[in-house]
Amino acid sequence: MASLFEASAAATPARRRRPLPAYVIILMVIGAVLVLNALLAPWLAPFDPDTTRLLRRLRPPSWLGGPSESWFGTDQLGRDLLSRCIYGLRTSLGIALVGTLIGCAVGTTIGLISGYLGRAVDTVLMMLVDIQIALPYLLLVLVGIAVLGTDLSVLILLISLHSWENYARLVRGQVLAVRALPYIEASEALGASTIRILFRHVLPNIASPLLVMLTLNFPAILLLESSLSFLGIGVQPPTASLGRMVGEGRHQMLAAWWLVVAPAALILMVTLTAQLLGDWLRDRLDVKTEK
Amino acid sequence: MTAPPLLQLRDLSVDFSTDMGIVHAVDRVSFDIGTDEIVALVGESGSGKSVIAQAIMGLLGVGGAGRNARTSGQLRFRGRDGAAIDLLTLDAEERRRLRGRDIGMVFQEPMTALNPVLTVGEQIAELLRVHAGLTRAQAAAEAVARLAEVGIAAPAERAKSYPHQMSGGMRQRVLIAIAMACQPLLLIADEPTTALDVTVQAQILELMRTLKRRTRMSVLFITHDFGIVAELADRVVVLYAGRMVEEGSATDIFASPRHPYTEGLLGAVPRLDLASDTIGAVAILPGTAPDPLAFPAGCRFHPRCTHARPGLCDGKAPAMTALAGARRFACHVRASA
Amino acid sequence: MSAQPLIAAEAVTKEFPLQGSMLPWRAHRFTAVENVSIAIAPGEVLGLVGESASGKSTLGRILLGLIQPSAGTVRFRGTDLRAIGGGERRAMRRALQIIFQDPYASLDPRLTIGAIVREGLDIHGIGAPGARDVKVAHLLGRVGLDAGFARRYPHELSGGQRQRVGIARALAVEPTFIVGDEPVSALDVSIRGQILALLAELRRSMGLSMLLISHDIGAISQLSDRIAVLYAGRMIEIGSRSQVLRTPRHPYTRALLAAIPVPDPSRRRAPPPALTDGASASPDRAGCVFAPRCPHVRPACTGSVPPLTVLESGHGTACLLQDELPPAA
Repeated sequence: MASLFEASAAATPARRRRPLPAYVIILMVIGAVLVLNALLAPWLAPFDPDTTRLLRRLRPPSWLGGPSESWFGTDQLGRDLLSRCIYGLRTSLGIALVGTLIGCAVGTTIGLISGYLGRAVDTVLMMLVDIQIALPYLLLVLVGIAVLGTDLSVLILLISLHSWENYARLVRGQVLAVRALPYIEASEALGASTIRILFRHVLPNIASPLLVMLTLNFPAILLLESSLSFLGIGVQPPTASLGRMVGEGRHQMLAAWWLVVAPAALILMVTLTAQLLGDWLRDRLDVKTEK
Repeated sequence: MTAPPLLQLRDLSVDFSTDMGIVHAVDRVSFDIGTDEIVALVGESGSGKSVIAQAIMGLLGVGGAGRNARTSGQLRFRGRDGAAIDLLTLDAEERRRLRGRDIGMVFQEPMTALNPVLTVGEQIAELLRVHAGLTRAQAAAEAVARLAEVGIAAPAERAKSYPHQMSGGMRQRVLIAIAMACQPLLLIADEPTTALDVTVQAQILELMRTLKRRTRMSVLFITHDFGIVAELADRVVVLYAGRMVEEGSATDIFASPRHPYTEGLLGAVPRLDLASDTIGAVAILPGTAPDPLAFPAGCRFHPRCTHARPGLCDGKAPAMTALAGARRFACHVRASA
Repeated sequence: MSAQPLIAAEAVTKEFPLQGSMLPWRAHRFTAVENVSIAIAPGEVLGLVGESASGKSTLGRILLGLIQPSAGTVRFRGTDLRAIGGGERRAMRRALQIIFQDPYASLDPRLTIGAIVREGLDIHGIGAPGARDVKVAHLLGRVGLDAGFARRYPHELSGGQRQRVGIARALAVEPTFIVGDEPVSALDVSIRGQILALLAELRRSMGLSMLLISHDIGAISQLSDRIAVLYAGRMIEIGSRSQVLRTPRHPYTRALLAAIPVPDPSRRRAPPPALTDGASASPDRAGCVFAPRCPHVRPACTGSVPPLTVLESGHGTACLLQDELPPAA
């Protein structure tokens, strides 16, 4: 019988990996430098970011004739701008990352449950999603802060509420598509539990679009944190955050433009890097863009 | 076959460049399609049969999946004026004009080949206005007539239907009406009945026979099913892994297949053996289709061939051996026997 | 058939609500399977034939317990599937397996072949964890695949090879009943014979019962002891292979057989009897569902549902006119 089945014919060569394009490598290096800066802030920052020295207020960067120890100059309270930028990056990246991950986890769980269980559960959860979409987000944040206060954990909680419904809808749609596939039915026929099917078969197969959404959602969340802090309802002083620094610096725009430009440039760099990497990832993983 | 052939394929080769290397999807294929003749192009997945159809339609090298294709050889097509042109040398505009007017095509999937937001009448009428220059009213009336021609009951009402309101068989009839709208000289049908039920398939095959009798067009029918070949074809071209392995009249091929692959395929057609009740006698062709990135050397069928001789079949590619009655086959073993 | 059937459906009906209504209780219903009874003996292979949307896949899944019938019961070794709970349910799950049509979508693309075949062993704790890979290699060998395939991914395999993996996955849990849902329809002609021969061999050596579902009566007739024909959710004919193939009694079965292309160009036949095109999605269920397409239709056909009358020979047909029809060609 065995000779009938020459099924073990010559092995097809494993799929060769395409080399990364140069711009992606550059973006990855930039991203790594930014993240390392944030992680190693206590060792990298030349000064304590919150120490005020009122005698050295609003000094220009050292290369514009300012004091030699302050490369980026100082702010209106005499704090070292470079140190504040490094710490601000740390705060903003941290909040955005945690917020994105929490939102993703919540949305993914809800989407998985909704898509796999269907019926009444699906109806109720999707109604929740519709409510979230209909709710003016800024109003939610203002009410939340008014009720719960301006604590950092409250801010993260509110930020993570920003886009969970996007994950929930994406995951639900993907689950609906995947669960109709025969290999899921095969697992059901084998007697696999719902948990096993969800985590062993469904989740890995929807990981690609999820990862792409995560990468593209991250810069949006970072901008959100910056905007809230800029408006004064986000990170509270004296903690440095990129958005807050832009907000504080805008009064001195004409006299000391570097106060706005340095943090704004960092925000731009972070969001652009994440966005471009996300776009590349989407093309690479061949995820259909759905809106 | 006194009339000159409508289409002559000469050494047609198509290569695709992919991330993983070059795929020689079609390798020096030559055959003729006569006027008023149904030629069946038979092969399994990866045999290159659909690529040949795309090459004739001029759908390679312009975009989509055929973007990275390179074609060589000749496709000599005798137009309505009797002059022969090479389809491969046409520019995009000439090709576009040829498609639909001189060459029509019917696809496998009747669901996706129709535009879901237009009624079927509008879709046929649009074609008639573009290619035959009819006015809006003329085209609408003509579309109803064309639907009647492909055997659709109540064509005037059906012309106002959207594709999703029709059954698979009816949609395939509409696609045939669209392909036939400008009375093409050549109709290419790429597995048009694969997605249909057997009873509907029989009706579609009957329709194609009737239309061909009435219009005297030529048909290139692409299939993997020798049952359909027997029902429909005048002549048969068998492909394996991008190369022609056998060509001949349908009667000859079924009566005495020369190539072992043709033999195997014929044996694999399920027969409703009503005379015997014994279970199990399924003919088996061993092995699997080769990897298109690494076709075997010599005869591409030799790893699966029970007649293969080492040193002969794995060395040089077999040339075509010609027999009487326009029969040809490519096999070292059978040529020397 | 005096012995207890391995698995039996008793008057099962399955209705699906159709989309398009805001109120679920007012939604239109699509009847996929209507009042079908079918019994499969141990070691028997039953062929189930019908066109697309005839309800044949739904019936197969009802037998497996993957779909709950709207009415009727399914019994496995005499026990109602719904009454089975706990450990017995797991044993039942092991006994009933399925092979799919599409060899591409039926294997999880992220898992290796080894992990796919192994899943059933892990779920049911068959064998010591360390010994399972040996068992996987053995199973792959059983379906004609080299043990080295265990490390490959589905996309590296051909259609026929994937179908073998699907069969190995089903065999892993040592089932007694397998539903093959169009097991060869998506395969190349030259591969179909291999898979059918493998199924025939497994059936012989392991005494498996099977339900082979196909739209192509030719593809499965060689393996089937009995053949049942489904039309618009109703069983319209059932009998031994030779009864159905040689003396079909229902006009639809006759049309189906007449429509199969004969691989012999010298025997090109007259066009098959004119069946009207396209079964309506929701035929009038008050009468015979085949009546709108039937060449022999009479006024009486639309009035009442023709019952499935079973002859002493076991040949059953649901047609009012079955005794008046001319003998099959």
